[in-house]
Amino acid sequence: MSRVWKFGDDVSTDMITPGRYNLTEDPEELAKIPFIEARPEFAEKVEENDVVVGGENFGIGSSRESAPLSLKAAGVEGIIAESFGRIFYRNCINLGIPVLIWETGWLSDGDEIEVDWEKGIVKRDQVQRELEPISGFLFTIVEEGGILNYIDRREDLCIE
Amino acid sequence: MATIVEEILDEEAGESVIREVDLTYGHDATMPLVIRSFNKRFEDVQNPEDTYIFFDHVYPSSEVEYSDLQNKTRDFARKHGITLYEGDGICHQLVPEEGLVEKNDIVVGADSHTPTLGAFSSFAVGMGATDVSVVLGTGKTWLKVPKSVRVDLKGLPGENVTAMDIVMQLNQELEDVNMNYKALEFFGANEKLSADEKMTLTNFSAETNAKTGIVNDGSFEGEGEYLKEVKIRLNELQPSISLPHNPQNVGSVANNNREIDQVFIGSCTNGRFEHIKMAAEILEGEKVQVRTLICPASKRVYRQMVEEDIMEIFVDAGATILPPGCGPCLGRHMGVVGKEEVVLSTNNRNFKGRMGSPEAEIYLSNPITAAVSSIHGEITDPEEVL
Repeated sequence: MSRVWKFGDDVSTDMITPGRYNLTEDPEELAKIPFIEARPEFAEKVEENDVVVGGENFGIGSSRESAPLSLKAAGVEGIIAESFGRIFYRNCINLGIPVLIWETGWLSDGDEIEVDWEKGIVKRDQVQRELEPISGFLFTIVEEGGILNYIDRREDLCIE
Repeated sequence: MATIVEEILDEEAGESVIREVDLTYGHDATMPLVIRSFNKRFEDVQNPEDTYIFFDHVYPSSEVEYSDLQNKTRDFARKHGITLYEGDGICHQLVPEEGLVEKNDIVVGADSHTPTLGAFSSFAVGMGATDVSVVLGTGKTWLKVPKSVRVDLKGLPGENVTAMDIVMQLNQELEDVNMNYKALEFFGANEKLSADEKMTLTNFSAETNAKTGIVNDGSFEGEGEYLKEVKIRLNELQPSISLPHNPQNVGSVANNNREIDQVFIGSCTNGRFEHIKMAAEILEGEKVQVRTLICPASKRVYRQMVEEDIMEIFVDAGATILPPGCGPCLGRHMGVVGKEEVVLSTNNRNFKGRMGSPEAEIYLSNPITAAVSSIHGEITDPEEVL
């Protein structure tokens, strides 16, 4: 089971890892940063397998990869949102973080859910919803733990 | 029958392709994670002669930890023979100033405002650290060819209207279109806007959520299948502002006369000479009523300010002139804002926490509105006072 951390619309990368906290490339240090000002308890209380749920435009703005990397380093299993900032979405795939796009109004902070990231199925109590899973070779990248592993296995960048 | 994007990428919209990248760049804030990713998988940079690094976000460095990161980036540049520019200005400004981008180029930048270079009819996209490390290591990237929205600019803008206002209007026209993963193609911009303003157009167009924005230099037919076609009549536009906390939250200047604590004129959106001059013409002989920060986008712009006697206008008006670079745009140094402060800024982003405290409010406007407001101490419509 995964616990839901619910956020609203327009969560920008400025909110996830604000500019002046980007002082390291070490994931262990980055794990202390996510939502440091907007939701200071997040980094301390988030647990392995927790899921971040957002509204529209999750991760918009700056391309800084510290944002998804800090969430991953803090233990976040994956992210569900109604829509994503384009660069953030791609960064998640590249880092092997599963993401799902669908209406999220039915999910609340603290909900216990089960997620099948490959099929795009989210279960809460007796409710089950099928969301839009990551398509094609993008899911293969996530499954293999990110684009570096994907390239490693194929010895080149290719689309499968 | 192709859109500009389809013509440059030589493939139909919707297809995923792998392409050689013509130009790659990053900066002090994003390179540390690019290098971390690169070192996990790669040994050699494929095209060091087409790769550039710019120290612009925090230059000179403000913290010990950040200085250490910059030193790691310096070592990386040296090791791989990559040209490094330090403190010469903002990456998106220096690339064209140094003549590094050409029409039809595929450009990948480790910064979300890389689409600025679409002003030169290139296909320029911002990407994250891992993607950029893959470009460095393989010379290639994968792209899903985006569908495009065609934007035709008609008429000429009034004297208080700039490219900033064109994008704000565009955001309103595009309310029914999710621009995520789509491109904007601008027709008429080449004829009606200066080079400085074309870059503002493509730079700020990133805030429609578009993947990139491209200006037709006159050689593209633009007869492909467009998702939507929009006409913007420049002569009908008024100065606009973006209200907190999203650049797409557009309102009229006239209805938002908030008192302000700080004005920032600069950034990759509005830090070129033409923009600084717009502000100088308003501040000449006046006194600013609030903290006013002027930040040229490059040393070349800075030098032009000196040569054309613009420095003394700002000094006499009581403004603070910052060194070339990103300035306070990213809430990192030189003007970090406190709780409940209100900012009027000519940069491209006003998300919560962008320039400092998440409790600060950031409004965005063109440089004319920003300069007029700095002498009135509140957001002021230039149409009313000029």
